[in-house]
Amino acid sequence: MIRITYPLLALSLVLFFGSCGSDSTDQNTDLGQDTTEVVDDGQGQEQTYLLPSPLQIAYIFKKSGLKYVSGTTHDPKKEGNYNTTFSQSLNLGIYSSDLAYCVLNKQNNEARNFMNAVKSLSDKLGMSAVFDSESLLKRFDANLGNEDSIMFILSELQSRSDEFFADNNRQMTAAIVFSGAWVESMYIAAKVSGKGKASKLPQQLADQMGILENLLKELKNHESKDSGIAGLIGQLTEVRDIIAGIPGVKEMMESENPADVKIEATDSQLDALVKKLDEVRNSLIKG
Amino acid sequence: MIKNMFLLVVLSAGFVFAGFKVIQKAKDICNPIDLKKKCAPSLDPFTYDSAKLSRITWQKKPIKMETEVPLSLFGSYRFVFNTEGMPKKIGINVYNKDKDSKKRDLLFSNADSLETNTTLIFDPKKHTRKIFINYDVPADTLNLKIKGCVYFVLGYK
Repeated sequence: MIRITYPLLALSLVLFFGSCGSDSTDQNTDLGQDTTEVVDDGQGQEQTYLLPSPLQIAYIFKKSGLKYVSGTTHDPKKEGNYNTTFSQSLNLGIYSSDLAYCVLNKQNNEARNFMNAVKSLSDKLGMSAVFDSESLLKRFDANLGNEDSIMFILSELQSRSDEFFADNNRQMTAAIVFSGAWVESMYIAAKVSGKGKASKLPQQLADQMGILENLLKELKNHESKDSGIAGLIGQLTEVRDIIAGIPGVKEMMESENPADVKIEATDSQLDALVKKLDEVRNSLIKG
Repeated sequence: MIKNMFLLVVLSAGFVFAGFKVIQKAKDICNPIDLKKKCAPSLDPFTYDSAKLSRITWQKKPIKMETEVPLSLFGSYRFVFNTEGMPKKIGINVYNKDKDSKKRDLLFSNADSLETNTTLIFDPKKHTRKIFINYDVPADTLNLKIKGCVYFVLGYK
């Protein structure tokens, strides 16, 4: 009996400890759901950076008076031009911004085309589950024209994407997607707001500096993982430096009452900024 | 002999099942989809913007986890924290500046809230540019190896 029960006992112990052991494995894989990578400085301190949704940026721009101008968005038919994960991620972000811009400005047909582009690039990036077997797309179609419902669906799409990136440890993809979204939002704002004393562009762009700072820090966390990220950081740093050079921006960033700080850009500063955003955006959509 | 063998098989199956249940429980309690649903009523009337599930394992020394949240001067925001997945209370403190700043103001803290209160809401005042969320995890002096999570959702309007 002893000869038989010892193996059985051993088996039960193996099974038991095996099941306990899988706990820690799960903790590191399935459950490793921080939306941004944790940076441990070795002193019991960890720092992470939250990035907003493209929908919020579009909403904030709309709230601050940005109008719809036809032809400023990217061409949704070009979604098939992107063949690398890096360019697909960037342009998923670009199309997400265009989608939000169209939805908030009640451009339903355009919005539908951008939703298709977003779906197609999401599929290519292995994110089909985010659309829940077409049901989200069907709901989107059924609710086109009802702004509240569409906003709800888009925020659900965002939350599912967040969960996907977290569940699959794809924080780097999330940061690249957001980079594309951010550049497209700034590009649209620059094209639509224009220059002159009445332009709200300096305030709108200065307001985005906090997000841009976080984005740069987050991209730096992933710099070694994809060769394209260093170039992206360089481009975004150039944009940041131009915005930071506008009188009032640095003061606003350090002020206890940032809303009271006046941002006044000269036409040549705005020209330089618009030119830089043009250049960066064009390089991103080139693929 | 057969009786003993049967007993052993039942016991081992029991162990495996118990181990599986422990894992399931840990998974269930920190499931971001469920936590998001639980936070939804507290987020209303704000729209979901982003979320972060922070997985926390107590260490021999205290840990400070900081998340930097950029906000727009043109928006209004709500922060919702769900601590259901944390078996022991940790400090949730929200500041206007980062942990390296010499002078920063505490804007929100769970210090006075009961451990049973697992949903915390903070609405920052308008025209705030950045918020710094600190999770202050005490030292695991008794080596209890406590593990858990805190779910945070940001809403805007």
